[in-house]
Amino acid sequence: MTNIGDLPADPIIERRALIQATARSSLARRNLVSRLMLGVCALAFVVAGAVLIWIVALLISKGFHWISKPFFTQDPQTPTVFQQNNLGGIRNAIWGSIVIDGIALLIAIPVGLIAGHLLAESENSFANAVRKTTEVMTGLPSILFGIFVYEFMIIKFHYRFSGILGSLALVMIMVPVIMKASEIAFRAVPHSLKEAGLSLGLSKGVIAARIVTPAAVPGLLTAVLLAMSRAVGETAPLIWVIGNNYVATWSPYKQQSAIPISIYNGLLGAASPLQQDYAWGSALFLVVVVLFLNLGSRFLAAFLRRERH
Amino acid sequence: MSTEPTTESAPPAVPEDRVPGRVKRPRARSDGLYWGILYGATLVFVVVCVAFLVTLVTSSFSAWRHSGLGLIFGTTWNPDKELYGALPLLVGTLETTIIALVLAVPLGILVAVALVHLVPRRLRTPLSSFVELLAAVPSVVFGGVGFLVLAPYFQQHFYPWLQSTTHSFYLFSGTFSTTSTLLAGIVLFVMVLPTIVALSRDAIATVPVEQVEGAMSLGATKWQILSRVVLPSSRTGITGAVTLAAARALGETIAVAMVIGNYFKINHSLLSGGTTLASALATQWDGATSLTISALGALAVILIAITASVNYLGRALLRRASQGALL
Amino acid sequence: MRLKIRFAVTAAAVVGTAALAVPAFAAGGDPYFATDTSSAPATIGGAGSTFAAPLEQSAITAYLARNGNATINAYQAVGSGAGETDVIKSSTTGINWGGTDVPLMASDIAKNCSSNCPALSAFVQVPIGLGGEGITYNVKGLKTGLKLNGTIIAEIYNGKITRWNNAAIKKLNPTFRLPSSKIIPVFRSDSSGTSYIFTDFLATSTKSSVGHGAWPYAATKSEISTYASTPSYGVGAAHNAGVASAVATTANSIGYVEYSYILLNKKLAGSVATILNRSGKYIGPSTAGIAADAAAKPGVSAASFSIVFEKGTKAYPIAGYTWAVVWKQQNATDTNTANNAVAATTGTLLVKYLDWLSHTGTSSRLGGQHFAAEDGYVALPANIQALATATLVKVVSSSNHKLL
Repeated sequence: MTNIGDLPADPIIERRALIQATARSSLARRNLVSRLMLGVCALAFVVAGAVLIWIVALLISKGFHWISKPFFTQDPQTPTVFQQNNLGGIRNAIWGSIVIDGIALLIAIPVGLIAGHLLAESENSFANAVRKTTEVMTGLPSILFGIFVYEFMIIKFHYRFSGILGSLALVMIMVPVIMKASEIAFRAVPHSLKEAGLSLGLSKGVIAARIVTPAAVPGLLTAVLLAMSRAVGETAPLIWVIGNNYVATWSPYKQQSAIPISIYNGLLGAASPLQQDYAWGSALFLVVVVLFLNLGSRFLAAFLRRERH
Repeated sequence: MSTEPTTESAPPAVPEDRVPGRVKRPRARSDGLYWGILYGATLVFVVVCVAFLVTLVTSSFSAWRHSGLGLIFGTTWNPDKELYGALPLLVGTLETTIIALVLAVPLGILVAVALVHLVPRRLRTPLSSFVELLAAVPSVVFGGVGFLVLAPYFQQHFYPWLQSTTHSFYLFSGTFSTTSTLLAGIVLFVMVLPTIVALSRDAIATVPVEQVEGAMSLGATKWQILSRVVLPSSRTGITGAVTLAAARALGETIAVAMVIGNYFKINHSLLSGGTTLASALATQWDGATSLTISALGALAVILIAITASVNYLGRALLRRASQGALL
Repeated sequence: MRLKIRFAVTAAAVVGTAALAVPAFAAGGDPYFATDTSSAPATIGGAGSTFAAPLEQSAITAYLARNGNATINAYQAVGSGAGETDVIKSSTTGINWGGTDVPLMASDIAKNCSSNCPALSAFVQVPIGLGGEGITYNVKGLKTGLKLNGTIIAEIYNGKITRWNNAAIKKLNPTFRLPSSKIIPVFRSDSSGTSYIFTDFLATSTKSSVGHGAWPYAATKSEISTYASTPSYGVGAAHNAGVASAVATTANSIGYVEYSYILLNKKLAGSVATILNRSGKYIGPSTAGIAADAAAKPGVSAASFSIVFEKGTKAYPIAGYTWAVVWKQQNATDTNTANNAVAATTGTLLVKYLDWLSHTGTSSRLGGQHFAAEDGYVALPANIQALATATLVKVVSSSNHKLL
């Protein structure tokens, strides 16, 4: 009969004891390092959040006192030496942005949604190529589209600077975004809905229009709001093609102004420092609009996702 | 019991469209219209994309004829003397992007880690959205804050401090004013940070929970789990995130144009002004002659090539990451 | 006795009316403007020189109050070079007159068109303003009135003088506390008539033996940014407004801006340099100084337009005229001949406006130059006003009808 004490020492048990001893001795150090690094992570997060808060606070402090009724209802006036406070408002830029962005939306929404629907419905090589193209287009700097519209419409066709050219440039930015997001929204529609339509003998067009699209509306709306928030803040593509305008007009065939452009010109140096200060008001207004659209799309997405369940 | 088959009723032939396994519904007439509309809209998009590429490429021909390869490698950009050398622009683009990434990658990864592993789960989405709101701010606002608030402060306090602390190190030597390549890099850093945070957060959050639990069971501290398991596991996704952020930084136009000083010579100091491909497209257009517009078209083509390829690389990495590959 | 009373009453009436009229004039309004609706409705727009922008903007506001059928788009201050481009390419830009401080030259046209280029004789140049440029600086503790001469400024801009406490500056300003910090010269990064006048002054004032040829380059609209080593420490800014803003926000900087921008910016108005003129005096920018400089060279035309560094004890040496470039034949912008009638109407408004702009007018009908003084410009001398009309008379419609 063997005694337990006579058995040779178990290397596994020894090794486990060794590991446990090492772990115990280094625990304090490891915990300290962990706490430190996690503290660094938390600090990083606070810094990132602080930057955003700082920018918004800056805009509010510099721009809030400019927001008033004349700001929205008057066109810009020129301050002269004897009337330095004669600044007017940004009505021309507001009307211009509404016209340019509105027309861009009218064109981009149908094209984007329909093309997105195609991407959701077919898997052939053409659709794959289009998908790749869309990805590439969303990554391109937006000024390139302004240059394209300039080269094509103004140089080739001798058209003049006008608001509608700005809309065309914005369409090229918005369509890929809407296409991608709507493809996801269409694909997310449960297959059972489509099959129910098929079983009723409906044609594909009716299924798409009467069943799939209404079901995908939340996602589509999010897509559109996202594209809008991106387009409203764009400056670069407009610089090349819309010219300039200091008198508010609703006509897209005339030269127009736009809010980001008026901020760009104002912040870089208008004739008087008061005008430069004034641009902060416009900047605050623009950021509020863009954040509203962006947050709106997120809330909508979250809210409608909840409602499904 | 007759073995002859009865002739009364042979089983009816099964029509083609009711063969089990092959369900075919009669093709509705409006199907053609349906596909027609779908393909029509998509074709419009495709045609416009092709026109986009073709127009920009052909618009640059006269500049290529005029300057040849000097367009890319020439060191002088002087539209009045009809000299179009884009090397200062390429150098500036590289410098600003590198500065932005050097600052944004560590901070972005740390913030992403914090969002996934430090923040209470319920708060993760709102706080992520909060950081991503930075991405929604228009670039003209970043440029304005950089130019009017940061630039004077930098000139009066930051650059002198930098020079005295580094004893006028090569990169921080020379005279300076308010706008500089460094300032542009810093503004870009703030602009690409949300991209890195959002995409890295996705990569970090999708690390298989078994790996994390395995590490926990071995007694690793939280930081050990993060640094030895989570981050290495998500490195493909993070690399993809960084690449996409680089693509964004390479193409940023307005904010850079407002803070970089638009100085068209190559200078070794980061405190001097500079220019990038994208910002030149915004600033050189005003009053440009026809040949200059053609040269700008050539710059646009170069920019398309660079951003499209970097973007493609980034997305490929993200796709591989989502498939579980590890670089 | 009755004579005396009548005299007294008449005198009181005259004084009374004058007293009523003075506040009206002082406020800048003209109680005698009648609204002119005789011409057909038309819209015109101009773009160009930022040197002329404040004058144009005030004048347009005043003209629109006078002419009920006129629509004049706000003047776009894009710089002289861009203004010339805009008017040459007016079929796409819709700009009817280009503002520039340097009359159009054949080389400017060649730069802006690749085929079917118009000749220089297809344009006319109308003088519309007379102004000056101030040299302003932003140095902590340095008050206004720093004495500078053309040589010092030239050497600041070509890099030979790098610090504020340089011996040459110290010699001229013994009572100023000059810091040892580096000077940051601010210059125009775009094609600028203001740069032309500035470099013209540098070249002219350093030509003499006193200047030792410190600025041996010709005057130029856009090459200031390439000379010597300026860009390695200088700051380029677009438009006069950009230069003003850059000087105001960049410590230890110095820059050249049109005089109105100094008047509009309190910070800049508090530190303006006095410049050595040809007669050996140090004069700061003012309407009197600019007028004295212009008076020394009365025979100005589009071919001979430079008036920098003229003789006169009160003359301010950095001054210049500003011009409007206009197509001699006002055609429709497309080939549709029906639009030629429209072109004739816009052309008529254009010449009427420019004619009004270049004249002082009478007390009952104030002209554009009346508003010049308010903004820091000098009213055009009488012979230049006549030159303006003589030039505008040459403008014709597509059927060669005189429009003025």
